[in-house]
Amino acid sequence: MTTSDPHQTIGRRGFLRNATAGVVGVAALGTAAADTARAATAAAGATAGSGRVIAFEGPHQAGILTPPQAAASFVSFDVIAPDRAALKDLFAVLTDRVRALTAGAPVPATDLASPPADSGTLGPLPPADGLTVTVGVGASLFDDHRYGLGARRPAKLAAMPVFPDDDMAHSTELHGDLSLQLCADSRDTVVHALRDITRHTRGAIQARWKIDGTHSAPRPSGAPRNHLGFKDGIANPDTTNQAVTDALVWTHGGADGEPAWTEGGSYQVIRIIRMLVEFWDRVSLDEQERMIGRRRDSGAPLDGSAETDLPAYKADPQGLYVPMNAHIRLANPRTDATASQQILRRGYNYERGLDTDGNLDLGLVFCCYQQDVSRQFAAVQSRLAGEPLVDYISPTGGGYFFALPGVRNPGDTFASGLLAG
Amino acid sequence: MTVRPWFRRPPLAGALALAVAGGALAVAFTSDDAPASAGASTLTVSVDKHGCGAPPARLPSGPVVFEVTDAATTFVTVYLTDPGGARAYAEIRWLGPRHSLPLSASVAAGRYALRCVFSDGPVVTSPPVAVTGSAPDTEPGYRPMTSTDLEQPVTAYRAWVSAALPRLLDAARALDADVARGDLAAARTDWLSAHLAYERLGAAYNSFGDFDDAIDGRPDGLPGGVDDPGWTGFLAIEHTLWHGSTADRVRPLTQKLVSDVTGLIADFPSEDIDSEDLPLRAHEILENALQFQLTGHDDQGSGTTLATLDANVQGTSEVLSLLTPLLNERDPGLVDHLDQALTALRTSLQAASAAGSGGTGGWTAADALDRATRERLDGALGSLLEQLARIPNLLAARNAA
Ligand code: HEM
Repeated sequence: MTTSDPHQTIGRRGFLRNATAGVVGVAALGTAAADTARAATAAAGATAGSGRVIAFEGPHQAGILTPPQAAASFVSFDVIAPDRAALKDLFAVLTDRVRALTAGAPVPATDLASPPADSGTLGPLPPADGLTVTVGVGASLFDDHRYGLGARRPAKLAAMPVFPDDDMAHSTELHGDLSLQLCADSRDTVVHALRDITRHTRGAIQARWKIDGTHSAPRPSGAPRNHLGFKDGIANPDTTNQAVTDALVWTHGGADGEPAWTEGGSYQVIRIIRMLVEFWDRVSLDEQERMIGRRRDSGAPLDGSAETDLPAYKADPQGLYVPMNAHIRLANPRTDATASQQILRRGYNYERGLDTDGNLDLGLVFCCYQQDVSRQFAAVQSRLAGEPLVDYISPTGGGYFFALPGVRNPGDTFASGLLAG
Repeated sequence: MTVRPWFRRPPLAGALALAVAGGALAVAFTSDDAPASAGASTLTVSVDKHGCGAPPARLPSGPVVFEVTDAATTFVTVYLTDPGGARAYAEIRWLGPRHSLPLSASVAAGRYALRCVFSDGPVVTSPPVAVTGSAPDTEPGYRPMTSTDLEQPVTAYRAWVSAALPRLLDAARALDADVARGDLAAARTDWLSAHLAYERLGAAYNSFGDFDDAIDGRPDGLPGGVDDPGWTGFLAIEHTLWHGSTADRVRPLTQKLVSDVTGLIADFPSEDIDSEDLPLRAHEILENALQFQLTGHDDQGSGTTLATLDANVQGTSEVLSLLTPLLNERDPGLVDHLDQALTALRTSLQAASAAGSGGTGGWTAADALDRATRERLDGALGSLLEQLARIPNLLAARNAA
């Protein structure tokens, strides 16, 4: 994990060191033995997860520029809150829970009459463990008869259209009023957070579909690999450069017809894309590499020798190195005209059981963030229509959402701008 | 169906925190894997039949943990109460001789005491503890209830069931008569009335012992599933009535139903109702309904699991009304809230059916619900259950607390 993430702050371990000092203070009062302090250090260390706390507050939500954590769930919900006041309550509760969970905050005491306040699946002291929860809203939330938010719909937010190579006619995993992208350094932390959030929001939102993803370790180095065996996540806009993220990732209130409240938000696209891996494994390496445009082993573009080499399409106008219809060349032709179409990809591998014929259901939870979903994702997706890779993949679900602006301070909540007044 | 374990609240539930209180961080752990309450100091207390420990005379408000050791030779239940016993704040349900467990709470300013109730009878109370100052998130405590407090509601529940059983028998006989006549259309209508009469009793969780399996058993746990010759009762009858069986194949089942209901009526007066069961039932009838009815799991062809759910809501309302005085004394407002939620759920169920295609008895089959309707029902039932979940702990018997 890199440390360039602006949200990355003091690690959990630092926090706990202070805590241990506190125990010594208690011991000095004669109420706890030195043994207890040692036990505290041991037990706390065991539950501290990765030790990472990723800051919750800021102008933007965490989980967008944050380098992808190891485990993720993408969950789409429908909002069933009866009215606008209940919708407001929902976002207040979401804010409280996400704030507490991402901080690894103490579990509130359970009173005599209640079931345990926490599921306990992370042990008695749930760690932050690099958790981020990114909240998005879908176009349907803005339908006129719902909460009276029609006039506040982000300018480019619409239901995800059907693209020519899609396989979504019978999909049960499409769209939704609200999306949660939960990412953490371990799987159990993701599940714990989701369970906590659904429990606290029961009656206000109802889960619609869910897909879980993981990030593999680098094999042997560089970007992690997807189920096709290729390194994935090599080329992305520079998230450490604010000029780049301001131009490509964040929406700006007042610009491009966006309502003022959208300042600091971002369009989120989620696509569940199955990979027909049995078929893929029966294809020659040469053909695989020409479809992607990179070497499988090294990740290098076909005109280069290292993963980090930039393809030089101007020097290869006929596609003798990187074919004209290679995935990376179509997705990002690297021309001035297409520079503003770049997307920030943040996908995860998924793996879930078998299909009726015993083939593995493996694929990509494609997720990307951008300032303008039609100028960026939709343009790239249209260019990819009919690419050779489409025979080996099958998009089966997903949706368009708008990731809300960040929660700026302790008094702020998700959607405060959207629901103001 | 299984009876839920009596111990719902793990002794260490919650209260595990790293709290920043007044700028100072304090964590105490009583053993490697049993961290105590956050920001709390752990106070060692040894109890026996002569005294329920010697807690400090003064404590600051906020989280506190007593590490209690039973120095007596019998089991003990330990409470943190006010000295008069009007409120209980925390408890160790069951502590064995020479064993230790933490008793944790977050206390507001006031007077407290530890109370030990030994399994062989003695009840002893510690000297009082004066708590001063203020702290966030302190626990209000609850008026403890004794098992005798539940006697009246249990008697009333018995009376209500006893009065309803003859009507159930009438309905079962009507169903059997239809089948005897060979009128399966009438049988399908009367099956629904009879089944709902049974489901309104909120029979979940073993209230009728083995009779429940015979009268309303599921095929799931049977070796032969729906073809198992041992499968009897309403669901078995439903399966035959909606799968083209002939009257002579259905008849043995309806006859068996009549005899089982007759048996239940004869047996019921002597069936023990554990008083703890009634609060449990107030919560868990609808947990079962979520698992088996709203999902459509129990549908054997009639498409009426939403009607069953509706009957279960009525059964829950009945149990709740019997518990209302006890609940109002302990958590004012809870019952009103629950009543509204129960009514809202019934209204949603009726609306779901009114909007549907009008299946058996006018009900929409659970698997025919459109997504939006299902989500509304899921949300209404789910949020109701989160609230009903308080009842069993709130109304747990805490004798002599
Ligand atoms: C299962 C489906 C997909 C697979 C297997 C796949 C695979 C890959 C691979 C192996 C790379 C090269 C490594 C890298 O630069 O990260 C890549 C790059 C890329 N893909 Fe995909 N991809 C898929 C779907 C998509 C979709 C749906 C889009 C957008 C509509 C997309 C857009 C891109 C972009 C923009 C790049 C970077 C190109 C560059 O800047 O050089 N991909 N993809």
